[in-house]
Amino acid sequence: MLRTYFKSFIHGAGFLLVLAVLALAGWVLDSATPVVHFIPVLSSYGHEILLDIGIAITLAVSLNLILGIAGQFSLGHAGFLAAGAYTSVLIAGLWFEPQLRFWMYGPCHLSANWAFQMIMLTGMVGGGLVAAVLGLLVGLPTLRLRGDYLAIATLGFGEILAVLITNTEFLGRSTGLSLTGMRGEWISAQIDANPDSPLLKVVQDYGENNNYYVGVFWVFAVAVLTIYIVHNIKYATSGRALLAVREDGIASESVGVSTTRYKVTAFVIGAALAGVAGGLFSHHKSLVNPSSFRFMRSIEIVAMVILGGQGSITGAVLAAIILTLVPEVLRSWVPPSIVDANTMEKWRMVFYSLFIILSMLFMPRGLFGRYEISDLFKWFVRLILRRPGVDFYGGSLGPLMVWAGLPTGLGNARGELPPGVATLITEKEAEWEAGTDGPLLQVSHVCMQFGGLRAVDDFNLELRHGELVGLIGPNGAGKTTAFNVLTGVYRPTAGEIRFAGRSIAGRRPHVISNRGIARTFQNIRVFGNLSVLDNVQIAQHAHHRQGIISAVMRTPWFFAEEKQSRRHALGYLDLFGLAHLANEQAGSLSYGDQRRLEIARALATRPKLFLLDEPAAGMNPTEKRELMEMIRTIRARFGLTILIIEHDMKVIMGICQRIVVLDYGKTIAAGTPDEIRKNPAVIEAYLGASAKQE
Amino acid sequence: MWEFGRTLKMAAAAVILAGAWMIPAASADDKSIVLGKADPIVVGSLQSMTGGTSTFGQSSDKGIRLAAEERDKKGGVLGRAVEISTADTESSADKTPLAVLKLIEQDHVVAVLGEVASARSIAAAPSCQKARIPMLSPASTNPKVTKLGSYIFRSCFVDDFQGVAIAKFTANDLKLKRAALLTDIRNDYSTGLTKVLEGEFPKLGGEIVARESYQQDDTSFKTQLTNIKNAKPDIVFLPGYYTEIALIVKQARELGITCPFIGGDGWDSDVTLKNGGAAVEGCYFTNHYYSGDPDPTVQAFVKRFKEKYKEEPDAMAVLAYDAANILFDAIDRAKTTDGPKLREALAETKDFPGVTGKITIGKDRNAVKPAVVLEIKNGKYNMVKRIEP
Amino acid sequence: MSYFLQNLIIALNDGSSYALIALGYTMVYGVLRLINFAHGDVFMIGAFVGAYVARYLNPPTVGNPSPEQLIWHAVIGIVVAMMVCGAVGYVIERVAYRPLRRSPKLSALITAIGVSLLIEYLAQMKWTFAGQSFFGPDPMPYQPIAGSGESIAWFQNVLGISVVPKDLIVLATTFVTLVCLFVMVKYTKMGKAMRAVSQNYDAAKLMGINIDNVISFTFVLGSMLAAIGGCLWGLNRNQCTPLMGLIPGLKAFVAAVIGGIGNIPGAAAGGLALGLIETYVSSIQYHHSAILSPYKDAIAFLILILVLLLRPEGIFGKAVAEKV
Repeated sequence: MLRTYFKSFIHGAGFLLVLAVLALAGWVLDSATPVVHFIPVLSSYGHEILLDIGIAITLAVSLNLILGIAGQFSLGHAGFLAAGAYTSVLIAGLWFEPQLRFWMYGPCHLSANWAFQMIMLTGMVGGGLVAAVLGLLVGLPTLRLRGDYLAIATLGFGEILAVLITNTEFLGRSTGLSLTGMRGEWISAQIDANPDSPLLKVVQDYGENNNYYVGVFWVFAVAVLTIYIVHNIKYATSGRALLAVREDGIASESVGVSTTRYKVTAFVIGAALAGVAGGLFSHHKSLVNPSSFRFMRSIEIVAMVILGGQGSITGAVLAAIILTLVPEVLRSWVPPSIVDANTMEKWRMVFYSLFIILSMLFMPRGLFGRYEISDLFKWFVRLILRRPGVDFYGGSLGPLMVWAGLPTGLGNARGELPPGVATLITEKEAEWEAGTDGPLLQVSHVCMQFGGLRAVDDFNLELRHGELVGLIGPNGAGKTTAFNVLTGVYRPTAGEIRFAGRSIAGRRPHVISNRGIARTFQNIRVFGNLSVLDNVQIAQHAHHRQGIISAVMRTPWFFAEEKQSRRHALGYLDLFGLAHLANEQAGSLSYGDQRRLEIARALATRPKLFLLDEPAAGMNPTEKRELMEMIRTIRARFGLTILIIEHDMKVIMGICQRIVVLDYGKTIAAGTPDEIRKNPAVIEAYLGASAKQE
Repeated sequence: MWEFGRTLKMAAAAVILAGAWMIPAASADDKSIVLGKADPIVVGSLQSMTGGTSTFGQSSDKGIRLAAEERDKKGGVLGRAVEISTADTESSADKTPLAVLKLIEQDHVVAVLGEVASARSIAAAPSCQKARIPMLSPASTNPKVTKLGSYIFRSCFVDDFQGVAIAKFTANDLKLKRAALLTDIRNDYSTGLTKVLEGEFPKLGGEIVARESYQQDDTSFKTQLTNIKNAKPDIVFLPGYYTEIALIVKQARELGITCPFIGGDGWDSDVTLKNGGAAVEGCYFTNHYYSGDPDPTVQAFVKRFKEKYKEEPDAMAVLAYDAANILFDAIDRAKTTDGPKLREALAETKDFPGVTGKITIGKDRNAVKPAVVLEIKNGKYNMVKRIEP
Repeated sequence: MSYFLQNLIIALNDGSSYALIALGYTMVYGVLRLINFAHGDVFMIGAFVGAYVARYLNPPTVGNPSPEQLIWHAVIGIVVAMMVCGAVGYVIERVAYRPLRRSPKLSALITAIGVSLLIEYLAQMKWTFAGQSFFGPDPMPYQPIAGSGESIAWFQNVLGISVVPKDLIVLATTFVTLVCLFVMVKYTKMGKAMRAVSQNYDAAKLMGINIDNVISFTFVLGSMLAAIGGCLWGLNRNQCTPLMGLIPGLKAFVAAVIGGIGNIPGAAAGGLALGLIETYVSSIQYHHSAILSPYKDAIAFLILILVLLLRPEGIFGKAVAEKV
């Protein structure tokens, strides 16, 4: 436990402490130009580029959370930047006098320098808040849209904002607002009205002595903080959920992840960070102008994320640095013999656009793909340590190998199932026999209509606890549609569904999943780009208590839960013989393993009712026998009620207690396997009318 | 994981490329030594060479380079050659500080000529002020620009002067009282003039009967013009840039608006005549100079400009040309390129004989200079009035 | 009434320009699911080529040509522009998009943006070739058809609105182009292949359709439409600039989305709808001032967002339910 606290301190509070110490050092060293703000060897030009890079990093990483990690293509990031920038300019330019009074003569008695820093920070935080609110207002309605539609809607938002600013006198219209100008006007007004005011001298001196309203320290503190926040979100329950949403929205809903909530959360956090960057931007440039925030700016930020590699924080940082540097490098670079120095300024942007095209052509997945710098180190470690015949097991390199994902048998290899989940059937069976509960699932008169097509028509079904029921029918009979209605993918056009006594008709899939219905899909839907372990951990989502804040702060509780979640996930994997593949990419697994993984994932949501959609498809007879065995086992171990769609009659007849037959959306028969086998309507549906006559 | 191997290769390639960059960059710096002369005086030209207003930036740069070339032929400034270093602002206010700092610190310019647009001059001014490098904007007419510091000058008149001139000419000379107003709201030059016109014209007994607006990138103005037409004005105030003037007036004529249009120096370009054709006949605008002026300074400039660039100079080119010459004159008088002294010399500029008239820098670092009112007649500009400051 | 009619003419005129550009976006999106950002710039190239052809056929030194000659010049200009733009579109697809077809969609989007920037920056430089200068930052005049800017008396007298011949030229050309396109897409082999690819890329491939050819064809066709759009734009406004494709391109894309991206009649309808929205929003007056006209872009985008929220697949698009 002590170790967990220590780890938490290193990762969370410790980090913030370092920032605080640095800020404190700045305070102690407080002079007109504190060292943390300006690096003496750099020229102003160098500083300008450096600060641009810092702000670009913040923007790229914050957009990466939305675009790369959550997979939501937003083209409105410049809008949030604008919101933050304008808010902060108003706070720090228009309303700075009372703040200055408060910080210098109020309870704190700060020096002028620090008072100005505090005003800048207030503006920055204010900018972040306004952008977050705006993000919520924009994100809530628009995040329902998919892909390019979302892009165009967010682009519209950015443009609307720019038009509004251009038409608002208060915001300086097309000329924009200048911090220097606003303070200059205040100074001139004071010289006329109140020339002896001490504040006047303070403001004048500050303006004289400082090149910028914000320095390297704050810009990079925010950049690092942004990386830290996004990194911590990415490598936690929330990040896995976001990646799952990016991979497959329907599958993530089916394991209990609320896609809307996560998308909106990521969008709001990204927007807030962009707003903070806006605060830095306006202080750095000392000027805001609507033309800086039109859609080309958003596209610039998107280019950084894509060039870096979608979802890779390292990539976003690198691309932000490169794309900011390239135009400046090109300023002082005269290519031999192509152009002379005079026309270089015209050629510069031509080379810049060529650079973008070529880097995309040569690195279609971006600089880092989906990986991070740590993955690069891991790759190196594996490259060096993976030698045939060399056994580092238990050696001093063990932990390193665990970290790099090499098989060692050390560390996390032992998994166990969550307590209370694996109940033996005998206890449960007693309960069912007693008949204390009503039916687990009660479907009455459910209809699902698509336009003129009635895919499911008056579907009725009652499942008692512990039953294993088959749902069969010819192709296109509406079986999968019935599953989709039960799990909330479709909202039934009529009818009622009650699960464990409560109505679930029309609820969202993740709600239904959380109530205790899990499913697999006809065409396997594992999260192919995530690791096998992640796939199962995502499914435990609903049982995690630690939220995004805990993840960002890396609290001890977060680490404890993370460890437990890993152990449980490995427990499920163990059960299906997949534990040794825990670190592999799920998409690289064999077909059978993917099927098993999907079942493991579904089970990890701890369901009461399990819907299996053609689990035997594509399996050979041996595998089918194993599957039947497995279904019986999990039913017994987890006390599940199971509804299974399957075409293979051997499987259905072999394991089901009852069978329901659908044809053209209608229930044509129901009964025990023997009854169904003899039912003429079923035979007709499967073999056609002629079969009956023969 | 194959991507990492690839990333490493890319990184290696990047390092090699970066190395290759350094070599030509270094040799380029040696150019002045090869000339075997004293170090040239480097003057910065801060221009929007690319982006939405690249036409202004490129014109201004031409004007400045022509002035420098002429100066070099006459033996340079202080016996040293003049070298113009251009930095591109990409028509963007937030890229401007980078460009101006590059001029100041990498190229060690003695002064900065630019920017054209007021918003970008406002963005550049603080850096020049801090570095004690005089900045002379040839065409930023927004009053705010020169208020940003003691090193910030302009060699053109301000919105107030020009707006009043337009209003007075309309009310007193043309004796037209019903005016419509069509503003480019994305352009601070246009909104600045609009504000002055809105304030001044009613004072002179006029009435603004319609207020309409467009945006820089628009190409269809007929809706606004229909509204203007229905207000039946005697004249339309059109304080815009020449990139849109011909388009707008043409579309107005198509709708049957026959009254004259009047605008400011933003109209001055070959484009207005060439693209406007018959539509712009009978329109007026205020300008800095009249290219048909028999004055030898003007004629010599127009001739040399045409020789060098094979095109007519527009307002931006001539303003930049004058700004460059004012600066060279100030360096001559200061006898040094030292910032503070150069600043003093610039501030003392009096009755400088520029192409655009006698230019004096006033106490608030704004140029005091005459304006002319031009009429478009038979596909040519004609001067109808000279307005002294 | 005449005010309403006058605005209708304006709206149809603007809308048909948007429609022609929107078609290119929508066709490319249909087959590749890619927003071809460079499309607006191909449109710009089309306008410039049209202008150069007219300049070549009618150098300033020769006297005034007759209106018939001018019409022929315009037609030749359009044809040459179509060929040049078709070639440009083909090259862009071949060089910048095809290598990325199996990569993440957004990578291709970034190269598209790169290509768009490249064309714009190249066009902002003045190129001199054989004593003639091409492109450059200054607005370039586009040879007008004489008399096409003079109000037609009948409209003026009977309806009280001002309609000039070129309004009718633009409408008629757009209409003919659209009809040709619809026929082509509906009945020709290539058109059917295009529709097949946009329905289901993989299935089309399995049916033996040469996907590469279809995509190249789509790009060439879309670029040719952009060329027609560019030339009409030039004939209508008599001016072209290097960045002229930026805003019409963006708006045409909005139009394509409003109509349902990937849907060809939808793009045409979306373009017209956008023209109508913009014009009538700008025409709302209060105390003799068009109070909403400065906000017309904002309102166009607001309507776009509303359309997307209410019908994410666009007005004419078909909802594609994800197969579960």
